[in-house]
Amino acid sequence: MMVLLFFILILIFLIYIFIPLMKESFWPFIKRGVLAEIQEAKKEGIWAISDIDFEHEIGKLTTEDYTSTREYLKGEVLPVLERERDFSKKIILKPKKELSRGLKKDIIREVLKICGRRLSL
Amino acid sequence: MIDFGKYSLLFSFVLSLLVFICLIIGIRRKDGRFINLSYRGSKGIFFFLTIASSMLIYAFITNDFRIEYVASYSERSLPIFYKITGLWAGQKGSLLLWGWLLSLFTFIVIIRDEKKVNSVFLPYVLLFLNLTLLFFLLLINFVTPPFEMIARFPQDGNGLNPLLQNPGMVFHPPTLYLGFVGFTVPFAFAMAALVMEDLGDWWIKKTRAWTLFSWIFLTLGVVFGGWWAYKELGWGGVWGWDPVENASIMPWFTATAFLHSVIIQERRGMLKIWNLSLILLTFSLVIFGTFITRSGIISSVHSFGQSPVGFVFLGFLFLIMAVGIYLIWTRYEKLKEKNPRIESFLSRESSFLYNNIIFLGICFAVFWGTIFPLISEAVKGVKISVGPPFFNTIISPLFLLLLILMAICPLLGWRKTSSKGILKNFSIPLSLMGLSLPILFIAGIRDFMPLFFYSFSLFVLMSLLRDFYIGTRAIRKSSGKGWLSSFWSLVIKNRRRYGGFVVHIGIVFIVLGLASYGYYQYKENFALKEGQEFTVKNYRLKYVRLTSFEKRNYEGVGSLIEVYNSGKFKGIIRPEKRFYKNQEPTTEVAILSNIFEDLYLILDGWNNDDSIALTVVINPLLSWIWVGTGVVVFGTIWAVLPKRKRDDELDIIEKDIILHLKGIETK
Repeated sequence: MMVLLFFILILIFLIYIFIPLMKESFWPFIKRGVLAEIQEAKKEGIWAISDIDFEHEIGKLTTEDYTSTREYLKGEVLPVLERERDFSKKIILKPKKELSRGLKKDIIREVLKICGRRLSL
Repeated sequence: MIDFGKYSLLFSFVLSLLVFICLIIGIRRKDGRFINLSYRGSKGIFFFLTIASSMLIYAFITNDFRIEYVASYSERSLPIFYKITGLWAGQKGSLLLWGWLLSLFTFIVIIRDEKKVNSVFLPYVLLFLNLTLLFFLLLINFVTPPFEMIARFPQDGNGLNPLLQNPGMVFHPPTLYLGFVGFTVPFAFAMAALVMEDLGDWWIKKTRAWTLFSWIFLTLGVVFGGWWAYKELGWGGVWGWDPVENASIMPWFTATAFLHSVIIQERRGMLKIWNLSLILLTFSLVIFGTFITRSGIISSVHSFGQSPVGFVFLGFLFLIMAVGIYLIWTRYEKLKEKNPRIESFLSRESSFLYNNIIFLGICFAVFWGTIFPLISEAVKGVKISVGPPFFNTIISPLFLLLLILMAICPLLGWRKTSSKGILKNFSIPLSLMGLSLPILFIAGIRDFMPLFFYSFSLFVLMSLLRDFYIGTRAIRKSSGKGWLSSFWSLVIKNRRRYGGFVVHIGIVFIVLGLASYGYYQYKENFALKEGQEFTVKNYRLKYVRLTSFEKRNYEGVGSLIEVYNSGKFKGIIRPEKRFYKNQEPTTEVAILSNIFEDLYLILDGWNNDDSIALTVVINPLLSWIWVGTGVVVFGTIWAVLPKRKRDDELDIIEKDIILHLKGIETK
């Protein structure tokens, strides 16, 4: 009896597992693109600056070290921010046909979900 | 019920095979249907492995000795507590536990990301997780089946090894396995990043919690192992550099190096190849450790005995190393891109790198000492075992260097530190350390190594406490709050940083405990008659009498000892010998512990006239190891807790940079 019950359980599981094959072929993923890379680099740079700001604030870094390191790190982040700005411009180009308000909202929500809220900058 | 467990295991294996095939098809054809099928299949594996593990525990509880594994590791009179832990008492059950944990972690990885559209990495991660799981399911089903039946079974079971009948059995193996198995997740993410050629630090961020989780459990597993050995093996120490002990500590060294070096990649985008290699090495060492423990190739008190399973692990080790090295090799050029160089040898980046090199140096020394008997046997035909003197001589100076780096690293800034900066940050901790040397010398600590262990520990503590102090002072100054609330703001706003510092404080406690007992352990043997008193250091001990007693599954003989410290009565303790059915007698030590030292008594034997042979050991500061571990756990939890969003702060800096872009300077 127990064995029979077990095999019924396996059967149910097999049905559950194979259900996706009944659907149409699709690919659910969007690959991390250039924007994601830019944002990663930007966050990295900003965190590094934030770190040295904190260390200077608490008096661990001398003003001399702080100024030179901050300038250096800023120099690393600037091109990244420029790239992000250019990229964002490209993204927000107007489409040929006006989209419905609801669809626009959905797209924005999805894009923000993927790229994060900083896209608005 | 046995069939239930057996078929569940078999079905899990079939599912794992199915998941593997579907992942390959899904990834190659870019067909999400197969990917979804593999997600569901992996959840199924977790479900059926849970059934199988529950069935085995049920068999232990109901004394089903028809199962060979249950008969070998249990008996009717065994307390239920130890019957449940029987699941991981032997080779077969512990591999099942390993498989179950891996299926649980895979399940968690899937449910966290399966619904996200940007989780393109998930099928690749699952590919590596499932490949590892497939290997374990292959072993569980066809090499070491836990539900194997025996025709003639013992009516009451053969019993559990008495050394395993200790609370350590409840904590040590599961925590160690949680650590070992946990490292499969960052390994799988790293391999996925390599396969996808998406070589940023996304995989590090994704697995940060996993890495810390695995690290803390590995730490706990190692410490619980030491605690168990201290209580149960009766030789007075916590660590004997046994091959199996070494097998558990080697991945800890590389994992600790990894924990530090990923910070550099996250902050400066450096050390990409290094980090990938470190996680590959950590996972490989986990598998290597399992090979050592389970092959019986090197004799150890902890090993599972001679078994062909070990060599299957060796094969698997070669496979993962070959795949990992191939992937790193073929992506080498891409990994080298956008990889800034370290500018100064006096920067935090370089100090992290030195720390990594020392950790790897220690790991290599332990590795060499562990496999040396094998090499000597292969070359000279004689197995030369390497003992604690080798390890202590090589590793103590390296640990001393690590202590120095632990003190120096937080004092250095990113990129470079000027001599003025060094002077400013180092002066107080360094002078206190310098001052401590003559004080310690006058106090009687004359040996070079302990003297420097103590003074460098002070250096670390001072530099860390100074960091807490200046941080609190700065917040107090800017916010006008009191000391306590400023301190709270400091540690709550910078959880990761100060959590890490707390971990370092805990490590200093552990090092102090290890160094003190290692260099200043006192041991003396006594032959005593009833009522006889004797003195050891500050202690006056009186042997009262011998007692015998009977418990559920053993009989015992103990000697009652009255303990007085500096004239004050501290209690009566009872070192024992226990006699289990069908087993060798075991020694149960008696320990009286305080913050300064442990009094550790071993009953060696007795005569017909009730006189006894007793060994007395005094271990200074040993309890600091356990306290330090608690501090390490607390610090890690503090660092890993979800932090308060610092987005506002980041926005300010971002806007500052945008203003700079527009030509408007703010600072």
